[in-house]
Amino acid sequence: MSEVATTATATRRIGERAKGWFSPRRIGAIYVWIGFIILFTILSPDQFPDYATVKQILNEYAVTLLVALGLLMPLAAGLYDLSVGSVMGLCGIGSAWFLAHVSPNPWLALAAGVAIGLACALLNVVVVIVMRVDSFIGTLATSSIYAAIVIAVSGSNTITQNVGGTFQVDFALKNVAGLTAPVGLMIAGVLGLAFVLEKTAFGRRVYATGFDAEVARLGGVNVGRLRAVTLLVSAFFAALAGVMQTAALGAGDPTVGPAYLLPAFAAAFLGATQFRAGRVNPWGTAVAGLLLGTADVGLLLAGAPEWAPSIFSGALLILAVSLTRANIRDRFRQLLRTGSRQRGGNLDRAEPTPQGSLQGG
Amino acid sequence: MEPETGKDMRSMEGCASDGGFARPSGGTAAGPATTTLAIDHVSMEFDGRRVLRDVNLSVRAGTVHGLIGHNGSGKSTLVRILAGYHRPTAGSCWIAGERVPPGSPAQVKRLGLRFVHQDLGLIPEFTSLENFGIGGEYPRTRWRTIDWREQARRMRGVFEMLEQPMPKNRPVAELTAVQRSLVAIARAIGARPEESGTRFLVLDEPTTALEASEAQHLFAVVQRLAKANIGTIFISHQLTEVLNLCSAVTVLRDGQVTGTLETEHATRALLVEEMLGKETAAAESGMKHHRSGPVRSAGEARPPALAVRGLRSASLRGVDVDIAPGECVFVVGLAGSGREELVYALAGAVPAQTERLEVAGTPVRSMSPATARKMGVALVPGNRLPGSLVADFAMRENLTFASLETVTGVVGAVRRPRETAAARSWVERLDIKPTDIEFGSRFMSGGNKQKVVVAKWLSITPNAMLIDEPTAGVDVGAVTHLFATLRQFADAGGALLVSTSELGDALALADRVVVMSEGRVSRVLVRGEDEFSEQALLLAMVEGSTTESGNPVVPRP
Repeated sequence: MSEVATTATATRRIGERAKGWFSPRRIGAIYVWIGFIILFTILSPDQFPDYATVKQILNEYAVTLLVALGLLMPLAAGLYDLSVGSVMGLCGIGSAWFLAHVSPNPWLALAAGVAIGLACALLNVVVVIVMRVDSFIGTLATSSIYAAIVIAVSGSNTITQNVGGTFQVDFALKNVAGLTAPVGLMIAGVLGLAFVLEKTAFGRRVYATGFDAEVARLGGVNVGRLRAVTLLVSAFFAALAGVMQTAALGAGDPTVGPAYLLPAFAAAFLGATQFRAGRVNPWGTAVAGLLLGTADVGLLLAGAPEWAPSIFSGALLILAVSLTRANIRDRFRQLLRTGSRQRGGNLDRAEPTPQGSLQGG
Repeated sequence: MEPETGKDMRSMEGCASDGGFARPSGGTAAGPATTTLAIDHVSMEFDGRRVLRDVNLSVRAGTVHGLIGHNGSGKSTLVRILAGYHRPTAGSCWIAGERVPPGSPAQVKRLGLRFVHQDLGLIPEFTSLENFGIGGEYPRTRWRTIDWREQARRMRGVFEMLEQPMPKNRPVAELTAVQRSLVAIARAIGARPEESGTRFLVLDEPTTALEASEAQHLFAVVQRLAKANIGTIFISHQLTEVLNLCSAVTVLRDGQVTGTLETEHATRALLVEEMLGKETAAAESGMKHHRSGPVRSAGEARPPALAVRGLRSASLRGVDVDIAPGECVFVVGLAGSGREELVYALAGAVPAQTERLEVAGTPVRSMSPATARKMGVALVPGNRLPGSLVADFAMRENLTFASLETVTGVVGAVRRPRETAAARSWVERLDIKPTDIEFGSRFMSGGNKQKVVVAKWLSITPNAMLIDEPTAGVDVGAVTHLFATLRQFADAGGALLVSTSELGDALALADRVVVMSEGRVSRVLVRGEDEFSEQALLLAMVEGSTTESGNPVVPRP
């Protein structure tokens, strides 16, 4: 009797879990994605349902996704890295400059690009962690500096010397089933970040820091060091994206970079609403990025004007995030509470202390 | 717990017969010549818990009326009712014979009753003049912009009336503590009383943040207010202050007025007796023979789990504490005694310096939360305090957060089966509800959250646990379970240091109670040697705060 009952409960539990797994609240973006594929197939039946479309979406959006994946670590740790767009641009132009002036070796150029990215990360760390400038403002400021360096180095000219050679061949033309290096990097990035963020103790501490830095701090986490690491990760991904984009273009273009910032944030935020509600995560980001890419390519194939995809991705982001608005409202309320606590606390103390809220009869 | 059931019944009957809209009774009403603020048979219940019982209080214009009582005696609730934030369950307030509509801060203000709350409510980044204007009407220029000149004139008017120099027009964070208090008082008054209509002012513990000399300044101001015919309710823990400043004192205990005394006839001893109850008179004589002696299990050769000398921080001025393995020490103290900061300072969670700090015999040069965790010192903030739990985490993630190393494998990956097993075992051991370890921490009840916080730190098997307010917001059943868990931890050789405002907790669990005042240890009570009662603790707390000399008492020689 009881065994039967247990089995029945177990079955029901598995059923419930499966229902939870496929719930639109959890993976709504996937349903929307499927919807788009069907819609675009109807709109342009000759062009859209084709492997060429798949290749186009993946190859084009892999670079955006690299930037977006890089954002996940700082976002999970409660930091905004708004400099990734210009870091990407600087690393891209830097690798082109390296090819033209130092060595045509593609791997050294890649290393140079990454090194520039890490140097940018160090400046970000100094500003945001050491000098304690709010990350939103601090990285906005450093991004302006990086953008200026791009102009200074390139003189606003495109660098083409040696860029179109083995460099482009290695990083943009060689392919497996039509998929180029950025796609491989993107897949590696998703897997790597999924491991670090979701499987390791470090990842757990990153999330804790983002949700409640005070709990993390009192729990023995060196919040400053952890956040510094996350800024290195975001710059590393941005650097890879920059180098890959230079290879794809076959030229160091000084205007590349900043335009990737918004789509990357859109993918990261949209991704946070998927799979692990409220937590930025690589799976959701990948789905969100591919969804945006599908819509982009699909709309253009269907003959929509060039500005349509931007309107579309903006609207989609607002919609997706508003679906988890309860969560955001909570966060906002928490923010307000923190603010009033700091104001109400002892004015002599520079830092808000845990017992600030305790005082009072 | 409640020996006063008889009294209870009587007060409830009184309320029932009076109903919610009683006229002020003869005792509290005053003649038409003098303006009076009257609190008339006010009772207050929260969720069936009676916080105020039939409180009567009357203040004449131009007098200073003291209001004293231990933490939790209902002072704050009374102030909030006066301010219109709470509607009393029964009774009402009157100003000059006009009934104050309950629950209407705007009406309260119109009737001339103003407040300076304990935290002052100033915005640190705003200048004194900007702060002066918050919450009031701004004078406008012809172009509808704020007329700062006129505003400054008004503010100067108030300071002239108070006979105090006008503070510099700088961000108030740069002003001295007493200047900030003055800005807050000036703002409450708004303008010269004849212009603004201020008739009564409530000062909620205005001296807690002030040095003795600064407090003198404030007293002068309060006396000036009385001369300007403003009546003041002065709330304080400092009995001497109240005796010197006020013409009458009302004492609250457990939500009831135990008496209103003319200060001419009152003594400190009398006030203490009113505050703590008659039984304390006996306790007081017993306390005189206090000495600090050795703690239980003196034969033990193990070094103290935690030993600190000369701990200083923003509110601590040299604290020495030893906690032996297996010992349970509670820290108590009035608001502002430094009690609130002690555990955080010990764990290095707030800026602090020590002359010497040893954990289980190992010296620690500089303490930080990370070092504390490594050394096996757990800091457990109460579940309602910042820093206790990640609300967005599942219960499992919170339970294992401090001890992730114990559930990770070779490549640094958390081994989920091990983590799940660990979390499950804590849920079982502490009887945490719900039992689903994936449950969102945000949605748990206070008692269960607290169990999770405690379990999180027990799982690092600490040498010492430093706990702040373990029972705040925790229901009775969970408290019993928590205490059993903590007792078990101590019996297994763990050291406990618990900071609390609940004296009952200390009595239930402590081997030793450290009483703090003015940033120092003012007294140590040892179970079995000193009298262990709520009265004894209260008395030690109140005495500590009113005696002139604050010689630090080393808990153990």
